[in-house]
Amino acid sequence: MLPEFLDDRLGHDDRDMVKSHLETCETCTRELESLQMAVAMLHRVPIVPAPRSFAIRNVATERVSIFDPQRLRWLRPATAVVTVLLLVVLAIDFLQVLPLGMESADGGVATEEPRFVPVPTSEQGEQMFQFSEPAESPPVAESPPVGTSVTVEKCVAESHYFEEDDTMRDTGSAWALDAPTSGWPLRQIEIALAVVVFSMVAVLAFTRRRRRSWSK
Amino acid sequence: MQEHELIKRSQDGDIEAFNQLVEHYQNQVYNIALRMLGSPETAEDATQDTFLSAYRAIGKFKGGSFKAWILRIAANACYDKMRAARRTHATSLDMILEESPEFPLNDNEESPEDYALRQELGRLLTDGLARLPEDQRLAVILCDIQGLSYEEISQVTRSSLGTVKSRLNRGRTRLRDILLQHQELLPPKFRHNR
Repeated sequence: MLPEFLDDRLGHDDRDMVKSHLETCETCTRELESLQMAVAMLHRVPIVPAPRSFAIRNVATERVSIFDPQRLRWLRPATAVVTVLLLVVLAIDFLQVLPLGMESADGGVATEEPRFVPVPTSEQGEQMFQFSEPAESPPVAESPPVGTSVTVEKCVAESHYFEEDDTMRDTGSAWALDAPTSGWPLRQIEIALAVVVFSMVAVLAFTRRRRRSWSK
Repeated sequence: MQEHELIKRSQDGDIEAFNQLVEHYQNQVYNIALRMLGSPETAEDATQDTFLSAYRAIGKFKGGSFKAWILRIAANACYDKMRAARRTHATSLDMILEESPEFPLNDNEESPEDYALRQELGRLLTDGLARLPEDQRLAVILCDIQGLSYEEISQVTRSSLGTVKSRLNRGRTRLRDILLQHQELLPPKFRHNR
């Protein structure tokens, strides 16, 4: 009750009770006086006038609305998360935990994903597919043995026209076009994540610099 | 113009109206920041942050005590500054003791000796406040320096009345103990109190 007595927050009854107790209790009286001393010291602390006006300027608020540090509070942890993700992808790529590119039906690995262009057939009207010409067509050596890597150039050299599904299998080729792509495009993911991380860091740095200049 | 009208106009995007509110509260906000943080420069930053945050968030103000609302933002800005200081391995106490502002105590009738004692006492109070835990320091500053009621402090700190009383009592007791360790600096009537 002493603190409330000190701040004059007691009702009449409680106040009278504390007063009568203080008349007989030296310990409580000393406690009260010492607390009154501390409070009196604090009451003498002056209110210092603000050194300048903190009025909001038009320019400042406009800038704040674009790069609002409060709104961008999520950016720092998000940058950390994306950076960690990038590092994980880089590590996976480095260790080659996940397969790259396309795996052939017999276990061979295509070094480049074949590209198909639709070629309409004149009579049947069926949709046909053809390998497109690569940018550079180096001379192709003999076909590799079954079970080794098969390149797009090989297919071009053989000049096969395949139907979307069946023809490929009918040719008895070593690799099936409709085999699902089991590898992850790690390179593209790495590049995308790197760009995102770079952008986030740039925004963070810019926001931090702007915030400093606004508070001056 | 009434405060509620200024708030309404501020919510409609009127910067001039908001700046009138700033003018009205900036001394109080600055002084709370100064006593919480100790450093005038950091207090200026915290004050600026307070009003920028308030301007951005004024649309969310749903009524009640605007003073409590703005002081709550100020208190949060101070906590942010103290956290930032801790991240740079500097405690708020270090910050205060390194950049201790002039801390005069109001006293019109004093001798040169008393003036020197007053300066020392000011430093002692600064030191004592800095040694309080942050929540107790805020309660003591709001109540005994800014003169807020328990209810207002409860709104500012978003804590119960019981918590406010407890923090205030513990803060005052701790500060009292610090002051009593330097009785030679206290005014004569407060010496030999224990």
